[in-house]
Amino acid sequence: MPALSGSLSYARFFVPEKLPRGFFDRSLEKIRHRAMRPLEASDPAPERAGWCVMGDPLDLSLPRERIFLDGWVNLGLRIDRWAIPGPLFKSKLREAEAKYLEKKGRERLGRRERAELKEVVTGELRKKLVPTTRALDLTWAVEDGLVRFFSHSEKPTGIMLDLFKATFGIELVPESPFTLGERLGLDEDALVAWDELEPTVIARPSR
Amino acid sequence: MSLQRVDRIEQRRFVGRELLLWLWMESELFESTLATEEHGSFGFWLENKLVLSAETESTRIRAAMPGAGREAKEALLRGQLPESMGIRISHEGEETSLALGADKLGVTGLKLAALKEEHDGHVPGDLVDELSGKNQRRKKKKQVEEIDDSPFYDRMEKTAAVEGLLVALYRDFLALRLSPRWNALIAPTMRRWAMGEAVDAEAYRAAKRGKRPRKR
Repeated sequence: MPALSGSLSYARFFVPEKLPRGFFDRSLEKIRHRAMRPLEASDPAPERAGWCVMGDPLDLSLPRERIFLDGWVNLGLRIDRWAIPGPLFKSKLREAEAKYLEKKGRERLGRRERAELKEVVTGELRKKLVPTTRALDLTWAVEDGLVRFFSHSEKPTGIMLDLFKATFGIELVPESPFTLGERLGLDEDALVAWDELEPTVIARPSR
Repeated sequence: MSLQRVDRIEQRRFVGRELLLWLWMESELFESTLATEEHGSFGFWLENKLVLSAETESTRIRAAMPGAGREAKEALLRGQLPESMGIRISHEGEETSLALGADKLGVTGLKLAALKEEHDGHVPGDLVDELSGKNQRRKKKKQVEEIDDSPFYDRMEKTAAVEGLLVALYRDFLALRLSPRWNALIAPTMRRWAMGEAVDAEAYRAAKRGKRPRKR
């Protein structure tokens, strides 16, 4: 459910601090440092994430005019992952194990040998496969200090929060009933009342 | 983040569920017409999907008017509260639908009122130009080269407007939730409404504003 077309599904996050002057002038380089680097078969990591152009996961050049719009910072979070189908991996591993045992003239594999074979098979399969790519939009309304991230899934959200902090040095605050109330201006009395809130019970009393 | 702040966020997430419950009840009592100070009155009703839950138990209702049947109210009486609900908003002639989640106030499936570009597009203009003998080729090539950001701005503007309305509703809800009127008036009314008892909407409206209902 992206920012640019169709229906929108997103979670809201807030920038809890005022940004210093020239913040965004210094940000472009930082964003580019955290640009997505596509996964290679030889990479040990099973997954990698980085920034791409919003709406275009293949554009990793991150030109200024695609990121900084009037009052907005727009980015795509691209997550690449090696997804080797389980049955394929198992059958290739069995093949490799059989070949290895035959070559060594043995009947059983040691634990370390098995782990090494797994690595070899994974590497070989990665050369033949393409990693799965997922791209999620992020828009930052700078004036409002509001970031909309177009996913509700826990894992990509965690990746986004880490990458955002690494890039901009900002720990985003996820929206919740309290944070929204806080931004609406809870005074001291309201905060006391908030702390004393008990859930409203609608249920029939149990007999 | 301080422990107190974490507590305020995590231990009071139920407030989001109570917001949905309050909106549901008010939309029924006020016949799908709610109002805020800055927006005036607007259409607001539940549609498509209502999910209620409590601990391991949950009730999912898919219907044109998911809050209208007894099933939804029975779930409330069994102790469940809304976890997410489909909403339609009709404001200033524009219709918007979305699902609002309770715990993080997240928005899902927000369908904005049709954008101007989507209505008009370039086709009618092209057709008019074609009929008047103008050649559009050069213009189209230019459009491909230049990225038009206006749909993004339009979408974000409309999204912010919907959020503004939801925030205004939350502000009104919170004013009640944090006042003694909640336990004295709102919660008992909610229980009666959930039980299917008659609720005098106008008396409720007056009482929640701290006024005595007018005698009829």
